[in-house]
This record gives sequence, C-alpha cells and structure tokens, in this order.
Amino acid sequence: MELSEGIRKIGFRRWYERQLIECHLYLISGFLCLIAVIASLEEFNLRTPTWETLVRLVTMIAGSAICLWAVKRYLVMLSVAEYAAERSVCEKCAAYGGLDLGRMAVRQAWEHAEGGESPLSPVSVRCRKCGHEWTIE
Amino acid sequence: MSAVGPRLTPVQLTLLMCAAEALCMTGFATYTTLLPALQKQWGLSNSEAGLISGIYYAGYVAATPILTSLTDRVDARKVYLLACGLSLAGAAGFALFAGGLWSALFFQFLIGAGLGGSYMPGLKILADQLEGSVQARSVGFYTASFGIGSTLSILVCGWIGAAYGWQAAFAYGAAGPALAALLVNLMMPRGRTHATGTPVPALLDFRPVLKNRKVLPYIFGYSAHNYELFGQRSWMVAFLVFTASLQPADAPMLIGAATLAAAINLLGPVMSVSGNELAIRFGRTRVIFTFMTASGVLACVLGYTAPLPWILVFLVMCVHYGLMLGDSAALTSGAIASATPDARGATMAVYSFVGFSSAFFAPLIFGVVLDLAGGNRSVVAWGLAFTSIGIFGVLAPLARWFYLRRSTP
Repeated sequence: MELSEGIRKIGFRRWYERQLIECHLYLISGFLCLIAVIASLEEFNLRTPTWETLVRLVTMIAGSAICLWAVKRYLVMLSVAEYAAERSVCEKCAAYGGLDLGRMAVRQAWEHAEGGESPLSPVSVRCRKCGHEWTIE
Repeated sequence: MSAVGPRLTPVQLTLLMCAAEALCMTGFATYTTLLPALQKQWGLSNSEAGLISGIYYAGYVAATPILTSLTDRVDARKVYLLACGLSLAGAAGFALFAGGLWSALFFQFLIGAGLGGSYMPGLKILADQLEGSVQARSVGFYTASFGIGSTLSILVCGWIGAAYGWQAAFAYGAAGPALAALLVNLMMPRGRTHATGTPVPALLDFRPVLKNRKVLPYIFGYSAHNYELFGQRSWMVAFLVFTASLQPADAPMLIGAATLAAAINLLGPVMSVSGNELAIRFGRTRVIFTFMTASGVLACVLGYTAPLPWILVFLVMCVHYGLMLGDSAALTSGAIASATPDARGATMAVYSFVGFSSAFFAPLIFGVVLDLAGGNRSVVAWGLAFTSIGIFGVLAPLARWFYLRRSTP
C-alpha cells in the first residue's frame, strides 16, 4: 500500500505497522526458502542423475531465486518504511505519526508513481496537532 | 521501585520461571531425539528429515520478534500463554495427526514458534519484577535453565520414545507447556507494559532499540557468542568421532562421542551462572570480553588438537565450552539492564532475533570451511573450521578498544 493511500485509509501509524509486519513475512518466506535450498543441497549428486536429482535441482534454483527476491523485497520495504517513519515527526511540535494528507498529496503521489523514480512517492502531509505541513519525499 | 509481588520473593520468582522454562521446553528436542525412528517409519530422506529440523527454527524466527515485542503492549503472561498454546498445539498435533513430511513440518513450525514466544517473554516476566544485582542474578539462572530444559527434553523424550513410542514422547512434549502456562499465569505477578499517556510504538518498530547505544554492544556480543556456541555445538560430536578415529589401536577412545558431548553440554548451565556471578563481582564488560577472547583463542587451536590423546582433547573441549558459556548470562543481563523499561520487550526481540540469526548460519559456515579446507578427514580442515567460529572472539579486544574509546567522553 502506498504511503499516501495508507495515511488516507488507516492513518500513518497503522500503515507503518503493517509495512513492518509485511516485511517480516517476506523475511520468513526467504528463510523458509533458504531452509528448502539447504535441505535439497544435502545429498545432491549429479553423478547419479535420477528424477529426484532433478527435483532437488529445481528446488534449489527456484528456492534460491525466491529467497533472493523475498530478502530484496524485505530490505526495500523496510528501508522505505523506516525512511518515512524518520520523516513523520512534526518539526514544529515534535508529534510523531499523527498525520493527515496535505492538499497536494494525491496529485503529487500520482505524478511521481507514473514517473517510477523512487519506491517512496513524495507525500504532502499535515500534522494533526498543530497543522504544520511538510512533504515526505 | 521494587515491583516484587506481595507473595513471592525474588528467589521464588526465579525458581518459578526457571521451572516454567524447563517445562516449556519438554518438546524442544522430541523430534531430533526420535529422528532415527521417525525417519525409518515414514521413509524420510535425509533432506526431508533436515527440512523438518530446520522448520523449527523458521517457527522460532517468525514468532520471536512479534511475540517478544508484543510484551511491551500487553501483559507478558498473556503472550506466554499464547506461546505455550502454540507449543501445546504443535506437540499434541504431532502426537495425534502427524503421518509424514507435510504434517510434521506444520507441527514442528508451531513448536518452534512456541519456544520463540515463550523464552524471551518469560525472561521479561521475570526481569520486570526485579532490578539491580538481583535481576542480573535471576537472569543468569533463567538463561541457564534453557540448557537444563534442552538436556531434560533429550533425555526424557529418549526414554519415553524407547518405552512407549514416539507419540507418547510428543504427548509429554505437549504436557510441559500446558503446565508452564498454568504456573506463570496463576502465580506470577502482572508484567510491565508501556506507560499510559505516552504513544505506543508500532509493533516491530525497533528504531528505539537500534538507537540505544548502551544495548547495541550486548546485541553484537550475543551474536558473536551464539555464532561460536552453535557452530561448536553442531559439530562437537563429529569432531569427537574424528578424534576417536585418530587414536592408536592400543589406546582407543573408551567413551562414545555422543556421551562425551553430553558431558560437555552439562557444563553450560554451571558456567553460565558462574560467569554471571563473576560479572556482578568484577564488572560486566571486563568479564564478557575476557571470556569472549579466551574462548575465541582456544577455538582457533581446538581443531588442531584432534591427534592428541582423546582425554586431553576432551579436557580442552570442556575448557573451551566453559569459557564460551561464561559470558552468556552476563550478556543477557547486560542487555536487559541497558534497555529502557518501556522498550524492554522490543530490545529482547532484537537481541534474540539477531543472536539467533548468527546461530543459524554458524554451523553452515563451519561445514563450508571444513569442506573447502580438505574435508572431515583433515586435521588442518578442522583447525580452520574451528578458527572460523573463534574469529569473533579473537577480535573481541579490538571491539573492547572501540567500546571504551566511544564510552570515554
């Protein structure tokens, strides 16, 4: 879920928490794949090829690919979530995470997403406590 | 502030949580102990058997960060109850419904998740009730009870499995967590949660922990400690078997490798508690770095001792194992003492998660080094493989120098 959509639907704090939980699930997926790869690697022997050797080979290749993808996804999601969280403290009143979308947010988000420049679209936000506006980008 | 409950003294609280931890671990080694019988009965290949062993750790790593950091929000006893429920469901499910690879994978995952959700939350329940040196001492005993629990699990599950079959052993594994949950929820005082009035951080938001510069050295230290410990533990029996093969025909190894390894393991709880006492007496940092350096240096020479008389190798392994465990409880009590009370659960989640991750990779790296250096028939290969786990200990003085340099204003 995009940051702007998350703030609009469930609020920043919940969005952040969901991102972290989703990250964790990717990490676990990567870990499970790693275990499958290690288990397949054991007793793998190309000298006596059988259908089992083929299954092991496929498991190793597919498992490694999924593991790398999941870990990469974990790292990207985590860094995006942390980046946004670090910038969600109001500069004026130091309130954390109490954000509403700013006026420019939706249009900015769409423009940036179409450009495909960054995993985190810039989002204009407003502090619920003091009304101060800034952009998380 | 002394938050000790009205009815229980610190000693009683510690004994209670140690007993609960040992009970919670009844199913810890059931599968690995009964592996030969299950492998034969279900026709599992070594890879499938290894996969079932490995999924246990996946369960642990999945549950630990979530359930442990949850203790900052809700009463840790409830989290403990949930984790015991997972262990109970896993072990009982295994006893009643497991019939092959997939069902075993599922139930082992639950057992692993149960341990992940009970070990550190249990420690938090205990630490929340105490403070100062009493807290540090109780943490030492609690961490030592992990070793006792695992040893009991191996022994009792082995006996029950041999006498009544593997289903009975898993039933025993299910009974322990049920009793532990009852003990903790009925007798322990309520755990500390996040102070009202302050915003509750997101679940899995570990930024406050990673910003706490007092805690980080303990997390890194625990990681290095676990790396050496789990690498050594996993390959200990194989190394002793190799040592036995090098003994002269007229002076063979009189005791089996597994028995010697079990005897070495028994040193763990004793050294963990003793090291913690030394840390209380002489200073935590000094004791931790001393043990870490000494065990690292000894690990670097341990592999080369294989051709020596077996009793000498055994003694060197005992000394190494003792040194390795000497900093275990001191690290944990240091991490708890350095954590901010509101983020104690999150701190322990990171501590356990990072520590476990290095524990998972250590045996693999040890095996890779052993293979690359010449295989398990080469003394040099064993020497290098043990060096690979001792390297962080050898670097400990350097880490200490950085630590002291940074601490000095």
